[in-house]
Formats: sequence, structure tokens, C-alpha cells
Amino acid sequence: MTATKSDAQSDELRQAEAALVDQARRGDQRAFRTLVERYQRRVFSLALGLLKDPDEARDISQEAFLKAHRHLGSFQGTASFYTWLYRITVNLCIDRKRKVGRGSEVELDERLSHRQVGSPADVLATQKLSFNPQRVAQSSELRKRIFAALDKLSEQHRAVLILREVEGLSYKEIADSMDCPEGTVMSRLFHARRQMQELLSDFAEDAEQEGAE
Amino acid sequence: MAVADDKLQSLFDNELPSDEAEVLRRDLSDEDLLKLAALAELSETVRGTVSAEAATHELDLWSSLADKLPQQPSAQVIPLRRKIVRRTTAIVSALALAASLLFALRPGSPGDSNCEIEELEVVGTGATVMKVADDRGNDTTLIWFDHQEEDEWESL
Repeated sequence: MTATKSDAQSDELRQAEAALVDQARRGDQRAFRTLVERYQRRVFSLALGLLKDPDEARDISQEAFLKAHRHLGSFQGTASFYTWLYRITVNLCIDRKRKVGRGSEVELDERLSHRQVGSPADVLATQKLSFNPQRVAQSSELRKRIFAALDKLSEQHRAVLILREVEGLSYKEIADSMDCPEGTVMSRLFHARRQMQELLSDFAEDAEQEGAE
Repeated sequence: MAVADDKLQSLFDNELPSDEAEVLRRDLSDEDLLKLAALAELSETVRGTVSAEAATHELDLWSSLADKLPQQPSAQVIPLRRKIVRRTTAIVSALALAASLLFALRPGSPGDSNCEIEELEVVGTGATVMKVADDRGNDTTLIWFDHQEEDEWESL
């Protein structure tokens, strides 16, 4: 019963969003403004997670909305508007990173992502992190260290991880956003998580040593 | 026996069909439960970090976007009847203009032989006044009536 109610609600939301997109497409700036205000925080979070720099993230978010506005006519509505918007944002972030020469890890990590998921050399960790994730919200130092770990992932891995963990997108929605098969999403997500677990366990060891000193 | 990591990940992400997920949950080993707990912790850490960092920045994209967006007039809804009338008027006007130009500029027309043309509006019909220079340089005035039979009008 609850599922039916929530399905109906999400249907209503989808229809309302489609109506807004249609109005914006016909030149109604108020409708486009509503879309901007609805998604700006999420687009900014995604760009921030991918680029780390808040000014760059703001620039990219703005560019993403401008691009979306320019190409509204070509948006076919087969995927949801936000999936399409995320796709624009992810592509802009990857382009930006490549332009400033920060995309060197991509090839190496792409090879990693094609390794068999769950092979003996690459299994999910069983130990928990030695810091409390809730402390992260209060400590800018902790956040800096975690962003540094995220920055060590390739753009593709980082994008998949953020779309899943921060935006809560399904595999299908991530695949639409990144224009790749769902199997690739699963594989990239697995390796991104595995790498983050390793990086954060190193970080936890460092933190322990710093505490001992 | 431990569940494969890819299945475990799909279970964690709620990507398995509900009946398969239920069966899998019954078979989870202690090691699987530890892996799921570690995944949950990582997820919380990443989400907490990015969201907390994003929340520290003021965001008002619209104020700068509004100036950059091309100004487009809002689409207007025009009733079909009015649309047809407007379109017909435009087509008739364009045809009339084209016919006038053709008449004035055609080779050997009064325009070429230095004549002046004026339109007359008369009730029920139309007439054209033409001043034509003859071979001896004298002007001759002609009035051309567009005669229309009454029953022709009725049939329109």
C-alpha cells in the first residue's frame, strides 16, 4: 500500500517536472528558474565532489544550467530532467579536469575497472573505519582528508561514487547520466568503493599515529 | 558460504529483485554482515563529507544566470480561427502586392511608357486611371473599370 502511494507521488512529481520542462522549453523563464532553484544544490554538490574546488564547482554548475537551457529543445524526456542535467554536469567536470591536466589517472583506473569484480585480489573490506563518519560534518580537517582521497580516484570512478552515495541514483540512472552500460556502473562503483576503503584505512592509520605522537 | 561481493554490493544498493534479496539476506555469513556494515560506513562518510562541504557555500545561481539567458518571448496561444484569418490576410496581402508590382514593372507596361497610374475605389467595383503618353508626346487619360456582374458577386 505504501509502495503504491509513493509510486503515485513520484509519478506526480515526474509529471510536474515534465510540465515545467515543457514550459521552460517554450521560453517561460519562471519555469526554468524553478528548475534551477530545485536542482542547483544537487548540481553544485556533484560538481564539488568531482572538482573539489567550490569556485570551479559554482562555475560548472552555472555552465551546466546554461547548457541545459540552450539544449532544452533536444531534451526528449526519455530520461528524467535531473539525470540529463547530471550528465551535462559530469561531462563538463571531466572536460574541465582534462583541460587543466588532472585526468592522468583515467587510463590506469579504467584498466582497474575492467578487472573481475570480487576477484581474490580485490574484495570488499570487512573492517570498519576507525573514525566516526558523523564527526565528518563538524570537522573541516577531516573533510579535507576525505576529499583528498576522493581526488585520487579517476573522474569516472569518482562520478559514479558520488552519483550513488550523494545523489542516491540507481544503477540505471547512473548509466543514463554517464552514457555507459549498467554493468560498467556496477564495476566502477565496486572499484571506487574498494579504493576508498583502502585510502581511508591508510588515513585512519595516519590519524592513529598522529594521535599517538 | 560467503555471498559474492558483486551480489553483496547489489543487495546493499537495493538493486536486486525483492524475492532474490530476501533469499540472499537469509544466507548472509558474519563476514558478509561485516562487509555490509563497512559499505554503509563508507557511504555515510562520502555523503556526509560532500553534503557538509556543499552546505557551507551560499548558492544563488539564478541571479547570475538570469542575465546570461537569451531573452525569449513567451509562447502565445492563438485561437485557430484567428490564426487562419491572420494567415489568409497575410497571404492575400502578399499576393496583391506581388500582382501590383508585376503590373507596374512588366515590360511594355504603362510604367515603361512614362504613364502614371492611380487607383479608384468605387462602390461595388474598382477602376484604374492611367495617363499614357502617345507618340506625339501628348497625354491620354484612360480609366479602366473592373466590371463585375452582380450575380458573380452573389456566387462568391
